[in-house]
Amino acid sequence: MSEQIKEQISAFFDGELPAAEQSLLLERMARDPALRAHWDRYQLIGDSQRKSLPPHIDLGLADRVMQELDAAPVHHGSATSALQRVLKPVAGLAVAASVAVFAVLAVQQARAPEPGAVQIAAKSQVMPGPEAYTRVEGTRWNTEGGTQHPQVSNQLNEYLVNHSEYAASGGMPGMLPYVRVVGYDQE
Amino acid sequence: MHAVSMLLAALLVGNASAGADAAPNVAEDARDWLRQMSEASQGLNYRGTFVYLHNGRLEAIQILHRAAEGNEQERMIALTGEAREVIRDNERVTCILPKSKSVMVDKSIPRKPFPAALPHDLDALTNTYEFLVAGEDRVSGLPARIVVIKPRDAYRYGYRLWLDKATSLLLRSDLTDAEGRPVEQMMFTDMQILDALPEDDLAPALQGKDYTVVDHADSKTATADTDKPRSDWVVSGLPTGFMLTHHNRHAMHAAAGEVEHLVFSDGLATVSVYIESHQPDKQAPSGLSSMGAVHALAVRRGEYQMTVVGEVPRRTVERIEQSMQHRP
Repeated sequence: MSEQIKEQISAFFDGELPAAEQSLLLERMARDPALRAHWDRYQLIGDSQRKSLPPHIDLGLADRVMQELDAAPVHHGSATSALQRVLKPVAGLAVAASVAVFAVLAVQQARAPEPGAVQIAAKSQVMPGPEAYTRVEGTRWNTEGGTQHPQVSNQLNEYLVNHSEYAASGGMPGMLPYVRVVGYDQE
Repeated sequence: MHAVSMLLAALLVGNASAGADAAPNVAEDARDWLRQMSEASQGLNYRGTFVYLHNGRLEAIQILHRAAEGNEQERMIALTGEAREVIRDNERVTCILPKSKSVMVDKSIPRKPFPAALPHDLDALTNTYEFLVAGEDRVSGLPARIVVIKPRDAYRYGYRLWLDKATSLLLRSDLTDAEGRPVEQMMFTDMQILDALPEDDLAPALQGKDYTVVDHADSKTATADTDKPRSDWVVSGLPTGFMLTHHNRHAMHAAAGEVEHLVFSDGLATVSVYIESHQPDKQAPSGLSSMGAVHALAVRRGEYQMTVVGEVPRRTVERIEQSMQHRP
């Protein structure tokens, strides 16, 4: 891995990498697992230095999304080829995955970090193996006091489904409003 | 429609200079691209897979869209996690959520061409958003045109849209906050335009015997917008550009009685207010909840329970909740 690439990753995290170079970097990341691993470590180090290490860290997001796509259930047989093709345009996937890394940071910073985890990482800078981390699990509805009671979540879901139809008919065209209904996995 | 186009064009010209590497006729372009996107998303047969990013999570979703014999059918299937499905046609919308073993059926509302707003609403739309063409890019190997919709205040999100240059279909969409930071993103990793799509492909894959079915599709009041229901609520002080677009009462599974439903829209963002009787023996939503870009605010107002839901920032649901006053 060249120093130039490392500098590019650093610039990307600082938001200083020009857009044209961003897509090149992401394409390289999509092809190169070592680069993705470096990316994850870089994110973690930066995170611990900012004392905003999340309680749980999601390593290897880009890799896992590809695995999930690979293992995804096939509907009506016809989706098989579509799924296989998903794996090809990895550049696109990597863009989303890399942005996900940022989003994880952004979301986690809002939570109170676990003091122990911050100390360990900040002191040693040695990255524990992936087994030391658990996956970041989102919840369908987040509240200020934690997660909603399931019954309450169901009620909010019903409102959201009903609302989505109005949002789809009167606002942004296309499938966007329903993406939220389909796209949110429930706990 | 001609008047609408003229108005849009006039308003868009004013913002054209902001696009960095924009073509000379960007205003014309932004309007045309968005209209074509709307037509393409409704009128073409396609099958695609996109990734959807929210709260640091990525989900993969398959979409099938069929436009035949004047009927538009759409099916979305989650490929990651729980196998959620949404199936929509001109009659109804069916949402299947396997984990909670529930099926929700609702009446569908006809889609209008973009922009759905009436001519007099367009003033409000361009008062609150800027429309720009912001260059070109590639998504999933396809050349794409970028159209940017920037909010003029912090009461609404903006959009950065990547449209396929050949078909105008949406290939990627970023929902952005007032500073232009992405809040939610979706991007196609695979997109096939098809001559035809078998109707069977639009049938649900999920079969559940012990599912709870919540069916509102035959509910008479579901979309009764013409006969305005009497309301005990007065609305004042909405965020700029938001107007009441629907007002009805309908039955909902979650509520014991009828729910009064008010829909506010600024032409792009939509917020619903649901008002029902407060039930002391039932656990009701309370306070602010969020789901990525969607915010919901639930409050008890005397003998009423009010829930404000919309794909808008937190401050917008709060402001709209405050703008609802019970008639004395």
